[in-house]
Amino acid sequence: MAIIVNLDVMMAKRKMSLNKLSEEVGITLSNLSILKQGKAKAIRFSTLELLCRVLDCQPGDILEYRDTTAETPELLYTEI
Amino acid sequence: MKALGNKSLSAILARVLTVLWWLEWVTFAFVFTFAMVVAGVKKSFTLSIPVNYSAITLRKIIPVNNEFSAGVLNSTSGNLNLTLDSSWQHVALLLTALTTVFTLAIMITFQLKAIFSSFTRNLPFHDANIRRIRNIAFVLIGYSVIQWLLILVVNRVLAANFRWEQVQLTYSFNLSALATGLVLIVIAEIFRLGATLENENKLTI
Repeated sequence: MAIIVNLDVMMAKRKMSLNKLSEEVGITLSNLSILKQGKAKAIRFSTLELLCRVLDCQPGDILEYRDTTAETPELLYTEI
Repeated sequence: MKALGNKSLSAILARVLTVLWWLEWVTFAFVFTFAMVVAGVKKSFTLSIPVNYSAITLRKIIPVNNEFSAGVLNSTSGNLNLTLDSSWQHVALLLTALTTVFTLAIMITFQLKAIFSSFTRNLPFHDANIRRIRNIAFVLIGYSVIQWLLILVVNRVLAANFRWEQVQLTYSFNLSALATGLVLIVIAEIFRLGATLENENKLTI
């Protein structure tokens, strides 16, 4: 997916564990884990707002767009 | 009363279907054994074939007052009872037909039991349910088509071997089974959509 979730980077910067973040944001540990691993299909604005408030950051610090289409042909060429 | 979950309508239906499933197995075992014993003991057995035919007037119905005119009681279907000898070919045919009918009934009941059990566990959009509904649909559609083909063959055999005089054998197509099968295919697709939406909802944090 072209959207990268940098939650682990922000957590490391704020020296916050997943358990602590889960308690403060009010999201289950399993859901935060899904988000951290980039397995989530979508994120609610309310969740993003809570994460930004607790981690004291901007949405752009948590989410990042990385163009993966440019990488694909090269990858295919290497595989062939 | 709740429709899904524990102590719900689905839970009751799941239990009823479980009982029905076991009853079907017991009935199948009993009928199969009974048919084999009868075929072994008796020299012949009666085969009841359902047939459709052009309307036959059974009797005239007389009204008891002047409000109605006399009616006619017609019949367009019935059972042709034939006495067949207990040769191994006839017995094998009878047992094959019995096994096929019971297998289909047991299979459909099992799928329904599994579907309602998943409703009881609050998992209506389980991937297996889509497959189960489609299985039932294909069985019903196949059943209606095979039944129709069987009627064509049986009618040909009966027309060639019996003198029917003014009665003409007709064909009937099991439209209700076909329609139910087609509706179930659509329902299976709705369940697939439901499963996708549920999965998306689960992965929306």
